[in-house]
Amino acid sequence: MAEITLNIDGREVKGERGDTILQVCQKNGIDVPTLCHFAELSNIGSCRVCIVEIEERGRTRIDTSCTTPAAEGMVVRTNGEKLNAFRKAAIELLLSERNHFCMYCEMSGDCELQSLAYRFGIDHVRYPYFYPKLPVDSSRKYFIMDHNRCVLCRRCVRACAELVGNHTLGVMERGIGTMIHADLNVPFGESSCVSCGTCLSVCPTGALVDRRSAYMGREIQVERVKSTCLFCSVGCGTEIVVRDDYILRVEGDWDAEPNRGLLCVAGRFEPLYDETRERALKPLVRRDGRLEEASWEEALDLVAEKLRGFDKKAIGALASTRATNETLRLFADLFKEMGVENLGCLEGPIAEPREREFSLADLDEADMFIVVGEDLAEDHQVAGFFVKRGVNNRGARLVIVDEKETGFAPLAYRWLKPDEVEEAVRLCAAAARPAVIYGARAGEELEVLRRELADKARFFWMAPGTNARGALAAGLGGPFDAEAARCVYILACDEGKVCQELMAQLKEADFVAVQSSYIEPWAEVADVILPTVIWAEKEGSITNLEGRTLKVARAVEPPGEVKVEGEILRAIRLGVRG
Amino acid sequence: MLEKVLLKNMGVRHVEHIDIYMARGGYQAVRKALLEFEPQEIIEMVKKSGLRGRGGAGFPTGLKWDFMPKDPNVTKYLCINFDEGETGTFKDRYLVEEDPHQVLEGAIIAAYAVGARKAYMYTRGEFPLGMKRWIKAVAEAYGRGFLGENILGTDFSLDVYVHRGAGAYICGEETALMESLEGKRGEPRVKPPFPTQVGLFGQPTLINNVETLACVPHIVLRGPEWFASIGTEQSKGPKIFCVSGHVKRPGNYELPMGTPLREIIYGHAGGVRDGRKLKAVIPGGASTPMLTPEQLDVPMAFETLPKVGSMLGTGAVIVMDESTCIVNAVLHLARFFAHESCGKCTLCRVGTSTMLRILERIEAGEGRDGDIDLLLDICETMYGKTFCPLGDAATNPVTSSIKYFREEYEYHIEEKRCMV
Amino acid sequence: MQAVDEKLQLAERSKLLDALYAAQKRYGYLTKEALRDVAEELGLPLKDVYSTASFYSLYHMKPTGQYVIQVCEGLVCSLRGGAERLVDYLRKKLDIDVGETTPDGKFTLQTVQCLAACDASPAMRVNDDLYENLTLDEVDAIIDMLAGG
Repeated sequence: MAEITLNIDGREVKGERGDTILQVCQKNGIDVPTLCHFAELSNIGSCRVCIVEIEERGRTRIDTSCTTPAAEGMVVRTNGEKLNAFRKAAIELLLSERNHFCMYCEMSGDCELQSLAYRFGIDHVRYPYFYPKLPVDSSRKYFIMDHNRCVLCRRCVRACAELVGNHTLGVMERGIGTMIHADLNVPFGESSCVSCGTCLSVCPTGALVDRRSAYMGREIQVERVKSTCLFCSVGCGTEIVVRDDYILRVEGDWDAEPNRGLLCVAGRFEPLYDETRERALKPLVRRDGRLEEASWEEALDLVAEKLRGFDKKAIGALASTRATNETLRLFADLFKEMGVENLGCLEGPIAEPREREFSLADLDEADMFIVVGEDLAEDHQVAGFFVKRGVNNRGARLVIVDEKETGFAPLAYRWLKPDEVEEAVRLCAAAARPAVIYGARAGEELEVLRRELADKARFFWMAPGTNARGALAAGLGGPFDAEAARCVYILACDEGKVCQELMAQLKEADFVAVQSSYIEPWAEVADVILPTVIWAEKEGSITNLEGRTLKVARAVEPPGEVKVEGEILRAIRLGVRG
Repeated sequence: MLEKVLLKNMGVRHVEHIDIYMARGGYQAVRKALLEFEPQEIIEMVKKSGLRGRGGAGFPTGLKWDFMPKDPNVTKYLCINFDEGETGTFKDRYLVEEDPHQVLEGAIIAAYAVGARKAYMYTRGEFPLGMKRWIKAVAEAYGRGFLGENILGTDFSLDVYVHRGAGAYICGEETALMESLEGKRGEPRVKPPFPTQVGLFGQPTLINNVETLACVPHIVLRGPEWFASIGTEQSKGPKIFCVSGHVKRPGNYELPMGTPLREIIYGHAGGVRDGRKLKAVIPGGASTPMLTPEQLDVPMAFETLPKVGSMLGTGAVIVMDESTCIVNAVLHLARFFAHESCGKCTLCRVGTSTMLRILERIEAGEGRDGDIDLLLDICETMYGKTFCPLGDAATNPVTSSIKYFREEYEYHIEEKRCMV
Repeated sequence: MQAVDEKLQLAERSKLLDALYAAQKRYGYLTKEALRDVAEELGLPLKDVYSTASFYSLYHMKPTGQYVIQVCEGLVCSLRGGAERLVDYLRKKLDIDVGETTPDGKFTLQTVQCLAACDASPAMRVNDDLYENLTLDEVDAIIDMLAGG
């Protein structure tokens, strides 16, 4: 990249051709105030806070540093009384425009508008206040939009369009009447919003507020733990925000691959808002038909006794793919050591994918997507955002090959049934970089695509189950014979969905021991419940659908008498060995 | 007195029909340009003529044409700016309604000169008659072979399209116009890149005002030297001055660039109506700073008006007599700008409405001490720092009126009523 | 046929303003249904259609009367003793305020900025017709004519 030299604030600094003046400043540790600018979004130059004085070819002008390309030999002044006076006035205008009452705003202390006001020593606003009557939209389940605190920086609009590709948010009207809106100006909760929370994460003020964590802690009072989401196999990098051992909310890690800051409702909100089950805090043992609390010693002894007692051909063990690589290996080792061969995943058998590894980032290059047997509106949503960006922002075409009408059908150029897969191949002829995204329901049609598009298309496996790759590596991908298993051990983690068929079969078993974070859905079938950690209390690693190993970190301490998964498995191994 | 050039056909019945237009010498310029000159020669001609943009900015037209890439394999567009919305300006509307072929001729020659194969006429939504007449003129031109494939047997082809605006003054700004033409909100774009590099649909685009294009056929027919012989040192050619307000004969007056303001008002428009005294005059449309009778001798040209603290703009002269309450007049302009602010940048979005509120309260007798300085403060904050020049335009009436008529504002605030 | 067509997307989008005019004519004003139609026709996200339509003052997002009267309240029309007098007169005559529609659905009264008729002010538009050099009598006559017809 070509290097250029500028003179900024009397200093010679270097940048790259293509940088904006703001970027050159940031690279060289020069602090220029900003508001509407956000690193991952396009620059629109709307707030005017980042203005600098630019001298070029003998002419001086004032312009926004975020939109002006840096050029060789430019002389820039970022500071000074006049510039700061203008910036101060701009912030005061903003403060007068809407109703910015810090004293009861949950963002007070972490608000970028407020910080700028402090920075410029604003102790009063010289302009008349408008006091407009603006609504608070509380129609969304997880977060609220308070228009009174909005500064119209349009970060939310840009994020929804550029990062997620969803295009739900926009600006309506003009001038002083400009407002953020959704779709045809409907309540956000009734719009095409998918509750990914990206707008929430980029909003500089308290306009967009997470309901559950509002007023629960300022930035200086919380701890941020970098971890990985365990709710699907994409493995988005997260930052779990914790205070006093309590989870406030989950945010995306802007530096993490493959999600680069994005999350979906399944990882950001549902685990905290929609988890209503009762935690298992002490071991439970069924006596006289009822599950009763017991000591660890008693529970573990019982499990070991049963495992020793049954014939190894009558023992079966299932693991949830929500478990870490370390746990799954331990689990597999434990049962293989015992000679038990009837092993499998709680989610069902997993077919080994052809692709050992791939990069979701390659989807940003695709000019055509073929989605086979997968509903990206429901599952692997962040992978779905790649498709949305491609279709909505780059004009890429989407072809769906599926028996079901998935949530992405409105986006699709064509929706084909599996027996029409040849048509998909035909449509691919015009594509230079097609991508085939396939899920658990993909059948023969996938093989056709592999054959016909071998040298052209890239294939992306939407692995069923979070740590499917880890489970496969531990040899747990095979089919599970539920009928043969009279004594069943289940490493359930915090899994909530279990197929009805399996449950029915478990009812017939003679002994069922479950290592679970929650009592449900095991209350009816379990003979023993060994309480264990949830997603935020785990430590270890998982391997995502790309084949990337990602770290899972503990954010909060396990409650009650809960033990970590590995400790329980080791105790059982000890007990079994005798 | 200067003969009528641009307004030659005004009042001639049915001159919007191509037969009448051609009978009066129309389309000879197109013939001459396409058959006798290379495109670059036309550009040189326009450069030599000294023609400067008539839409308000006054950029040297030939230079702008020369900025367009020369590569014939690059798709280029011409865009005709018919979004005349500046208060006091009505020349473009008359040109297109009364004499559309003149503008079309200019457009054809411009497109030929820069290698554009498609021309888009962006018309203000409030001008359905102009649009209708233009569409008809375009159809007639196609019929006679002045548009379409291989015009006059050359390898130059041109198609003309019409896009109707929908009520936004900001769309008169080049980049906002392109946004609107592309079907989006009329919010200006970041410059650079400039339209001649990246314009409509990402392609190099030449955007010219209606009156600017109307000058082109005459430059071709009578030569750039003739054009340059009219006007001043840096402002060449005939100019249509729109005179309105408290004059006896409001209307369009075609005069040489550099005609003194006094002559325009008193020598042509009949002077102030009812024998009243002149109080203030806005020389170039609502966006330009106002002047007092002291500056009346200023020649109306691009380089001379800045010397008295104003601008030529569109050359739309708004005359205000002694019965005018200056505060009330500025209030009207403030309302205009606040209504037309696109809202993208904070300074203009809030600044224009804040100025409006302060002026409203001053006008209503509720002005406070410090209001005048507050207005000036907002003007200083906005000037040169908004995303586009609409912010600058909004401050000009306020700063200039306070400069010359501060006592009227003070009277309003202290006496809580109008001085007039 | 191309798999990716960015230019095509832009070209489709450029039809939006015309499509909105057509929808407005068909539906009377831009109802949610009208906007949805346009979005589907051009393959645009709903928010883009609404965002763009609500930006421009000639698109009516609310029901309007059969005749939309737009009185120019610009500086020049006011200098010529126009706008305010006309607006006041029309408010009284039609018994509605600016921005409102008569109960019989015949007239909507609006004020607009400069109509480029400054040499013939005061001026007003009724739908797509421009009326200039107006006196109160003329305004009376125009309204009565339209009310009758």
